[in-house]
Amino acid sequence: MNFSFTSYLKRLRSIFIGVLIISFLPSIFFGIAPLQSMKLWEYTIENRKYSLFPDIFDKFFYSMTIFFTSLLLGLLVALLLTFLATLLPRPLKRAVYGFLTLLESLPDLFIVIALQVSAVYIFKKTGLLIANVSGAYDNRIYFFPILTLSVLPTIQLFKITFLLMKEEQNKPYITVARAMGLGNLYITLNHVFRNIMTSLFQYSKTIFVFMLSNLFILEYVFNLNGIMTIMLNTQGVSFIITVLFIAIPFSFLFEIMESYRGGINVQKEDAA
Amino acid sequence: MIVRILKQPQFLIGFLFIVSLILLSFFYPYVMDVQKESKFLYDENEVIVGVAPFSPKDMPPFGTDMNGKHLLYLVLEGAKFTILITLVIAFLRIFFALFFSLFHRKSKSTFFDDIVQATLYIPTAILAYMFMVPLFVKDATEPMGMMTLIVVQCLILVGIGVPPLVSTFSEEIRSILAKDYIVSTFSLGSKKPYVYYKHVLPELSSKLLLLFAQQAIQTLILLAHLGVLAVFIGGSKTIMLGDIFNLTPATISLSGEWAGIIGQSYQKLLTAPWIILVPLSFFAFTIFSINLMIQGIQNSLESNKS
Amino acid sequence: MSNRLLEIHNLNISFGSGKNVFKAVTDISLSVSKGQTAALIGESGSGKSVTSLSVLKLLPANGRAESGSIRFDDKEILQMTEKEMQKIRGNEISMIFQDAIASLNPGMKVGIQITEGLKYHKQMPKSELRSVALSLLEQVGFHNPAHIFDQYPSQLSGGMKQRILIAMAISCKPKLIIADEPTTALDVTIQRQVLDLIADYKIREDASVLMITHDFGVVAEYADWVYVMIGGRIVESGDVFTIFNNPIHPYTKGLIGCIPSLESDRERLKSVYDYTFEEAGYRGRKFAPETYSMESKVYHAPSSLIEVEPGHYVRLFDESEVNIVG
Repeated sequence: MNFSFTSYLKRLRSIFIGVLIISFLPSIFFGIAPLQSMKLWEYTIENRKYSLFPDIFDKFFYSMTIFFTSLLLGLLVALLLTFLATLLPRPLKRAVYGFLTLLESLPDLFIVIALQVSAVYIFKKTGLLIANVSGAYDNRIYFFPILTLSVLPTIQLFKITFLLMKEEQNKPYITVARAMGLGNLYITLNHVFRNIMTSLFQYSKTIFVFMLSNLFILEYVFNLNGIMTIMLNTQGVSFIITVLFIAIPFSFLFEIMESYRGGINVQKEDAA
Repeated sequence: MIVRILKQPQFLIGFLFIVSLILLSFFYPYVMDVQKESKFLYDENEVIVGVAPFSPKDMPPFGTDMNGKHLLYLVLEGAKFTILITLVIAFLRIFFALFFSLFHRKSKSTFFDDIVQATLYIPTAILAYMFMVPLFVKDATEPMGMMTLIVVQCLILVGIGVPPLVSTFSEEIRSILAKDYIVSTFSLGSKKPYVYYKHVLPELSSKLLLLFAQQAIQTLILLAHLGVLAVFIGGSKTIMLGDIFNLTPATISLSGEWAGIIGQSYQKLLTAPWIILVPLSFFAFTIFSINLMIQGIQNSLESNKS
Repeated sequence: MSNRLLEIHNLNISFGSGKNVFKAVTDISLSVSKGQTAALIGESGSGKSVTSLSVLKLLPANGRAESGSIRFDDKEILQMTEKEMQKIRGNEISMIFQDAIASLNPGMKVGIQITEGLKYHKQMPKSELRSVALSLLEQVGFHNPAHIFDQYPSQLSGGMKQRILIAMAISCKPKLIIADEPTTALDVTIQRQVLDLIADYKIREDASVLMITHDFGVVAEYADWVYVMIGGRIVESGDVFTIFNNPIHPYTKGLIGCIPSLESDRERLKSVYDYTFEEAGYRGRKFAPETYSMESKVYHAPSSLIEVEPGHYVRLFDESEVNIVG
């Protein structure tokens, strides 16, 4: 661990400059000033104006609740599936991997829409309301969005852990552990999984960024009023503020992870 | 290298699927008879028993959209635009990114870096949307013609993909330059351009193909997202739908690419879900084919190493 | 016979399947007596490590023991189930691997790794584990075991890691230790220290050691019985004094001759191959296997170990047709 606060600040400054550039580029390119009618602290949804503060706090926490619950759910399910997959015989493992590639190819939009349509279809056929599939302004839904958002990370994490597992199981220290007479289950849980969890950290940034994009499409299709909806419907200063709302905590997470990863890499170089 | 990649069955399957989709899209009128439109469904007494949209059950194989256009026809028609635009965008992204990272490496400008840092937290769809909306506003006040519009839109889609790629490439080049054999080449007195041309580019080239495929997938997903946001490549026009008593405005995609089909019927998601799901499945199949190709390339790269 | 702790008889091991079958070990017989050290010596790729892995039934997935028997303590190992094997591994036979650097889990404190076997085999309560681990660390020569206990493998040097592996291997007090080139990855200065640790344990617990190595210097000092291996076969065996005083097979002579000595005249360092051409036969029969012959007929001709003097075996071809040519 060698987290440094200065490098975090540097990163934040960099992000801020970047957002600033991005937010003004469109008007520079097309010579259109941001909508004059728009006040600084406002966002519009369907031609109705809302004030950014204090709405944004509420919506931010709503979105983040969905985001992190899905991530956690996805991680748990992925680890469980990986564990089950290790118990499968060899040819079936290949089949699982191929199936994962197929699932991974489904666009997030497809999954979101397919789940929504099937929930509605089941409701129409059986009258059984699995869960509310569309949000109204003051009616917050949690269950179905979380379920939907967790599908893709589950698949991705499953694929990654699956590959890491295969890699890890061929390492010499596993042979040593087996030569000590330790059971397969014990080795899988105590050695392999433990090391996979640290390797997973390397992929966390990719998965976070990917999930943010998913979150956006989820909010749009399910008509949830979260932070991404604000980001889509705002310009100028309030756009910058909205982006920073996401950037500040997430870049903090990334910074911590990278410093942690850096620590591991140093260790590996020592060993080499 | 190309021969070895072609020998990978996964690569071939994916490649053949995409190529045949494009060919079919251009030449389907000569090969098979595709019904274009059926607005009404008649019974044997020529009495109208149904109005579009028809579900896949009524009008196999895929049903029709709100205007009675057959989805099979729409999807085939749109395939060429969608896939070709995607490939062009992905290619240009790689090209420009490579160009920038090769020639602007020294001027360690933080400009790209800042933008890349910021784009991590903005979904690409929102980023594209931010640029597309002013473009439409401008197009509405001073029309620029469909071709110009498509070109500008493609440039936007290329532009938002370049900065992250530049940083990927720079990192890649840096790691290649740090390799032992490059150091030994320099120690033998080679000049920089020679090393770039003889060692760095060939080593990058295997990665390029992989990145190209990944960019194509990202572009496809981005197009689908933009479709839902009602941002169509090639612009849109608003037409009036329904009968005289119940006119509803609807936006129609002009180029006919898949995302357009999704976008123009998006509001009807719950009444006629197949209109959305059919083109989306085609997106999924195309992406799957590209993933298969990636798998093939990776397999051949691995066998290359060992 | 009951004196023999480990006895391998006519063992054949091959890898792959169908057309790609590769025979790694052919017709190997060897034994390790109680309280003794047997050395298996040969060049890399001669099948030493494969033989040792087969004793623990840890061959890679594509390899298998095709015929023969491995008896440990008068029990047949090749017929044991995985469950039964797990009770033997680490507990009665343990192994020290050559690549100490990669053989420890990088994400786990070494102290914990040492005690895993104890926890698993002896169901030792957690409270005792730490003190046992500390005494084990002391046994393998660490002066500050409490400090080492909490270190991660990356914080230790190669020699330290090898000592940790030895501590792991002796933790359950096994009757047999298989040391698979334990000093190859280490620099010369600590080779001796590591080998002494293994020898100390052997004497203290009256255990046996199967030492796998390519270094005749190590053999001379630590082994009681020597098996020389080449191309998956044993070509000469005998007790250590016989082999050193009266080596017969040219390959053995080569291995011994490769040890440079300062006393003799300085000449070009010799390789094994310098010896193989010098003499072609012994008492009218050719040495086998003739690995250096291009003719596959000669290479695959049947051969057997012949007892040339009591307790001293040399591999010679059976047929006299492939007799000395020149």
